[in-house]
Amino acid sequence: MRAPRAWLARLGEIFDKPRRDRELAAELESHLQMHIDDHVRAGMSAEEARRQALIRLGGMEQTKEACRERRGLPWLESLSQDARFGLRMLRKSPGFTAVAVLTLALGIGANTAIFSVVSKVLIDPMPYPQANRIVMLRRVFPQGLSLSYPTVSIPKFMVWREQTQVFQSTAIFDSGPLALNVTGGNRPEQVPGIRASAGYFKVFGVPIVLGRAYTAEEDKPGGPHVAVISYGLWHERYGGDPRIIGKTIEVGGSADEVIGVAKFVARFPTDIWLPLQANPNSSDQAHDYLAVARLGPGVTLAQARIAMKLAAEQFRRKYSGPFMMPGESATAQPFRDSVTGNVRPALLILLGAVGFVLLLACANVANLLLARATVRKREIAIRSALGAGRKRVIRQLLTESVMLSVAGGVLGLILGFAGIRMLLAQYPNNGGGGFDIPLIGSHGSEVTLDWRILLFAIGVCLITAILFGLLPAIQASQTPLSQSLNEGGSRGGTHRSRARSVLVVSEVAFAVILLAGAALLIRTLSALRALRPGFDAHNVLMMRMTFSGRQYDKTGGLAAAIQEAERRVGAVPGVQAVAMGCCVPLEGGSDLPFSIEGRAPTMGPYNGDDQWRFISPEFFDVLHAPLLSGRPFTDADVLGSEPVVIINEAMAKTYWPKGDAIGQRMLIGHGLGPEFEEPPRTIVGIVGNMREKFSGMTSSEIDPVMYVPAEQLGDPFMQWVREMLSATWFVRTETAPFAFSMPIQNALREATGGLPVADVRSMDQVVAGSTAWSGFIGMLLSSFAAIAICLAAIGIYGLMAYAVEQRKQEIGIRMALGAQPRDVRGMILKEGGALTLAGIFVGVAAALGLTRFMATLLYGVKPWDPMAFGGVVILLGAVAVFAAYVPARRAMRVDPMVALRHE
Amino acid sequence: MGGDKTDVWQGTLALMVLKTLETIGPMHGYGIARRIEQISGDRLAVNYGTLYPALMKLEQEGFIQSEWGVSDNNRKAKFYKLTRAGRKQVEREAREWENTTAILARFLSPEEQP
Repeated sequence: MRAPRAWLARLGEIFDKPRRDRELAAELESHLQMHIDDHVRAGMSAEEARRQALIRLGGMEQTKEACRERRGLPWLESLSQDARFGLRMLRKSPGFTAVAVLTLALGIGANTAIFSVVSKVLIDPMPYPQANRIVMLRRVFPQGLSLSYPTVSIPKFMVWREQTQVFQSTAIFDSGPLALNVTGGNRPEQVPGIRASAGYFKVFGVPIVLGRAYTAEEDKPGGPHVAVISYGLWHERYGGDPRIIGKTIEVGGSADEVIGVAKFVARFPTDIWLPLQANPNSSDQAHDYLAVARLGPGVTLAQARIAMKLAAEQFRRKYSGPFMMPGESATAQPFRDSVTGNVRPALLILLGAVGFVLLLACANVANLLLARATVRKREIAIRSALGAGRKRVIRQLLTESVMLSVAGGVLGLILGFAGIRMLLAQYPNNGGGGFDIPLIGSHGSEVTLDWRILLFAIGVCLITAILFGLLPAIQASQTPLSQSLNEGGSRGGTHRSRARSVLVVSEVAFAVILLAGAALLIRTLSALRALRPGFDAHNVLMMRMTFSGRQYDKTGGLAAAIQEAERRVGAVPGVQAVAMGCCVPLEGGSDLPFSIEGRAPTMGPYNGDDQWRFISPEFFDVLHAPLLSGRPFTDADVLGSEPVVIINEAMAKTYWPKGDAIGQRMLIGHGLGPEFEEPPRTIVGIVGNMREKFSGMTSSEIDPVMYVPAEQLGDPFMQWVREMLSATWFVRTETAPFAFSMPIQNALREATGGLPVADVRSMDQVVAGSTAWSGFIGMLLSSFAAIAICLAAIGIYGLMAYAVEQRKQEIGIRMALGAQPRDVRGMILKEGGALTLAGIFVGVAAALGLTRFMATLLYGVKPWDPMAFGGVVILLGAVAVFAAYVPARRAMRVDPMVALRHE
Repeated sequence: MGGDKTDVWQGTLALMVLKTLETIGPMHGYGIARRIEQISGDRLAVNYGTLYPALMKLEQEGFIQSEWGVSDNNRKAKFYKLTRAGRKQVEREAREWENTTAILARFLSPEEQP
């Protein structure tokens, strides 16, 4: 009941502390003196009296400390005192502090950065309302989902969407963004857009910030020209004009009325949504669309899958015959899985790698703290002798550990922030092969620092620091004071150095795992870079163009534009040749099914389904792709002349292994839809293989490709093509191609009646981009491995340096007894070597178990690649020997006399 | 010396200090310690490691006050005296202590009960 008053009094006592300390000292001194006086009166000598009084009264310093603890608010005072003292201690050993803080910061920062990105992609809810109810509707084959791209045809979707008992809403949309020309005003530009059915806005819950989305009525064939534009486009192109609704914009040569503005992170960059206006009675077989659905209330994924399977059977009954592939069925897949499927393994591996970095950091800090503890054993003993209670000593060490962790955490937070930005800056935006990281917005704008992981990482470090920071205090309080004081602070603690050995071994093992992963990716990268693209990328500039406008409704318009471009661009000084093609090598394109004349169909009604390109006659010349046999296309291969096709070597070998391809005829795209109907084409040439796509990172196969003359496509075919695939111009220049970029762009614009170009790159950049994703992952893993090897080296060095310091006396005796400095060095090196070997052994075993999870990221190397593992072992061995060599040399120079006198 | 003496325990020390001050008036720490030892017939040892924290606690709780003065032997010393709250506290504590000992006494010699 007296407590509040006492607390108030104590609070008051915090201030004028020095005066109170003086008073207490004076009071105790007078007490002592009175005691002595009494003894003297009783007849003792002054000296004896004083001695007796001191024995009788107990330690004056302990009494003062006990009184201090009663006075004021000791925990508050001692906290600030501990903090000040801790700071002083940390400043006094800057090497230890810097290494510990930096280690913690790297562990925390790397984890925060990587996890922030990964959680956005794999864990956080997707930016759609009830996103877990959205499913992808797709075809499935007996081989499983991973082998098929999830595209569907319109007739299939029309049957699937009848499964209304499981789906609340369904939608179908283009499988990739179209490059739409937005003209009108003074700045024509290409923007990404898609055509989507009206259900798109319902399935994704697209927030419309202005106006409205288009209705199912407007989405019918022959419906009005309306468009929904993105918030970004609204602001960038139209200045956020609130009167945009109802205005007409020129999209792809047609006038579309803007009816809404959507603020929305789509699956791929999208600035314009147009109604697909698909014909429900279509029998087109082109699988160019993606289908999604929102599950009805209470419907499970399993139920949706059963419904999709039934729908596939219905479709088979409705369209008997050629419309489905053998074994084909349909299924529903969680939307996130369909979106993240191809980046998931890489992201998980990165997550694992940073996890190891964190473990390493903790091991390293534990190691450092243990080493320090031994040094501080004596200090702690002295503090206890001066009256510090066990609690007080523990609190002091705790404060230091917490300060270390907090400093590491703050620096880690900064590193995490910077790391995210660095990560996204390095990340190959739309790196080749479609390996863009989904759901992170354009340039990762959606990625924010993940506080959960930051707190988690700091927590792990804090626990480590506290655990290993307190060990010495606990041990110290268990050994009698006199023993610790007499030990002279340089011996003892053998069991503690055993703990440190275990830590060092595990550090080396972690480093081996990370290094092995990095080495395998580096080997992959060099294998990928060693692949010959099959064309000469040097001094070739590319730029994309979409042919929109009335003059390109007919193929003749395109042919005229090609010839005009060849003339105008060819006239630019420094330009050697110019060509057009539908797709950029290494970046994939469209495929079409075909049948070979005179052969029984093997795949449904077809003989195969392979890559298909339309090109201008100069295409192979510009890219220096060698014609292996037959003839190239000429200006005479136009609509009306004999239909021709050139195939690549891979296609010739696949379908005509006997080498009799030339002169054979093939029918391409028959049955896909009316616009694809064309007469059979005669194979007139075989061209060398160009790499079309590193499908995944790892495909070593070269896709079969058929090339047709652009000027020989039927008009309806041409119209489909120009909507679905933007064309690309390729220009070979005499010197570095970017110097000619502006005159070439101007010439192209003049040649095509003012069409804009976009995506101007050199083919060298395209080649580099094709390995960018592997490079990105490899770069990250390599930096983690570099951190790992540094930490492991610090661990080995720290342990050996400490061992040498501890055994100075023993080494001195050995040398006095005739051991050569060489022997001493050998002894220390051998110990370091043994630890390293043990670590390498454990690490290699663990890495062999773990690297197989990387298999999908590897190309040209096995997960157990002996070269990679050998290199790792040699590198780590060398670093370890070096780390042990420095202390070993110090051991060599121990002066026996000095060492023996040391005590 | 004093090997067979009992160290005084904290809870009772406060009451002893208060009672001492009530009996002999303002006194310094040394005097209080000696007085307690004398009253106990030298069966208790009061060293300053326990005495001064106890004095400080009592002062914080407002039962005693201190001021500097001069001892009989002309030494500067801090004198402690009871406050009004202190006097009440002595009474209360003494009563409680008597109660406690009376109850304990009954347990320790049950056969003497009426």
